[in-house]
Amino acid sequence: MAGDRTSTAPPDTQAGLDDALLTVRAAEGDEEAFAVLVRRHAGALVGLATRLLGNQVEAEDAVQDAFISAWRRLPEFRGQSSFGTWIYRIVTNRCLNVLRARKPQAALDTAPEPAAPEHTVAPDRITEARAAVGDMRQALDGLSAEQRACWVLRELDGQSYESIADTVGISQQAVRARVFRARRHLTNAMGAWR
Amino acid sequence: MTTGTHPPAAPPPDSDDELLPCGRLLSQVWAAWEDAVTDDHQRTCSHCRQAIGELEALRTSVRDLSHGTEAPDGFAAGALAHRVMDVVRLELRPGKPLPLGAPDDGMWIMESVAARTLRAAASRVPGVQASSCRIGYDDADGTGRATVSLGIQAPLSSTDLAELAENVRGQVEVAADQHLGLGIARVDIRVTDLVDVPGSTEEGHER
Amino acid sequence: MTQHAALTEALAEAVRQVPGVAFLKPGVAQRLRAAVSDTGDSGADSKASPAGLRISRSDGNGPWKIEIQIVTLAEARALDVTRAARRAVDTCLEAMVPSAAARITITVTGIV
Repeated sequence: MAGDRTSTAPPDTQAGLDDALLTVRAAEGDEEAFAVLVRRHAGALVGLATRLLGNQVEAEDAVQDAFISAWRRLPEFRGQSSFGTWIYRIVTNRCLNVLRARKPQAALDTAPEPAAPEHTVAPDRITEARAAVGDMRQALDGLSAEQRACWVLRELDGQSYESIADTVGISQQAVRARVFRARRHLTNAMGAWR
Repeated sequence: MTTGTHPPAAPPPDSDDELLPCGRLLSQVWAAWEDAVTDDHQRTCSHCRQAIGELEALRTSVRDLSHGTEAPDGFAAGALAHRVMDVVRLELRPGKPLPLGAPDDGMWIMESVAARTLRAAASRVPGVQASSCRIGYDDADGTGRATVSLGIQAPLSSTDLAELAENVRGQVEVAADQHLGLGIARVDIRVTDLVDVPGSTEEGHER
Repeated sequence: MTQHAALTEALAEAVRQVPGVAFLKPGVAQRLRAAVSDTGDSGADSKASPAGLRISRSDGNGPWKIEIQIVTLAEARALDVTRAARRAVDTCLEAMVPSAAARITITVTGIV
């Protein structure tokens, strides 16, 4: 880029700035400040979305859509929370919608119990771990969108019930119920229960 | 409000819950364990302990699914950022036009463009970064001179904020004149934050 | 080529030549094309007026309305560049449509 002496602030010169500052600038139309936020948060958010969706390609799409939605909504964002918390919520909700679209809700509550994993004896630990992850992913697919999202946020992201309730937009009680059902389903699926 | 620890006699219908042989509900045993409020019964009851063991086993087996806050392997933030910014650049918010010269001259600069220059000017004062920069202009006298409202982060070590603000104002006025040619009537400066600046800008992540 | 199109092209070229002008503001169509960069320019509309320059005339004899959006170089003073662009437009108009009145606005939409 030519002539970055003083007048413009190319991405690099904003790279060290904190989120709050960049968020205000982006809200006022500074797209380069927004670009810094995108690069800073993209990795963690794709990680989150991959855990929620179980698929990195869909995860990247969801995160991309979430950022674009965030850009559109930034002028109304008044810093009630940090940018990180805000975009985390947008991504989670985007993923919830993807999960909901994946299977009709009706079919989920009556989803059959998955079969217990077959590999009771594994030749070595790596294979075993890999197989276990595969089983777990399969078992996760048997959960409803809300069960899956609540469980991932609780178990894999270590969020509090309160924060999950805020993010997903349901009561804490409802979050607890969904996490419980998810655990029930998964312990059964892992063939570990009884 | 969470419910008390003492269970009703039977699980509510359609809840997926289970009454353990010891008379406790599975959901409550798990909740107590998670909230770290297990009582004497749970610590000694074999049914409760087995139930908790299964939950712990689940937790162990999902550790491989969790990568904390790391991005998945093979993820390139740059490529995603490019795709996002391609769309963002189709939906820019440049703000309002501000007159360069007199309003009648038909020469304008978009607010967001001028703001970027003025924010950069503020950051020439050591330890200062500009956050909000709104620029308006008063058309009443026909000169169209601009009023700038600037929010800044100032270094925690500042001893004289008034002097600091004066320095920032000076930089903003010089940049408005020399880099833009934008006539400035007034620069209002608000110190929004005092920040600990270790020499330069190397912070990298939020809080 | 119509007078309108010829004038558009001549004005765009005149403004691009002004020192301190980086480019005319790329239009949505151009940026879209850049965004899906695997599709090559369809030669047909790549010659159409750049989004950074718009000419209109309310009726056949009324004043021309000319709106120009420029991106300037950071090392130049935005006002000076804009003034020079304005003079370039005036010169071009005098050469091509000497008798016509024109209302001209030039807006800086970016600094690079």
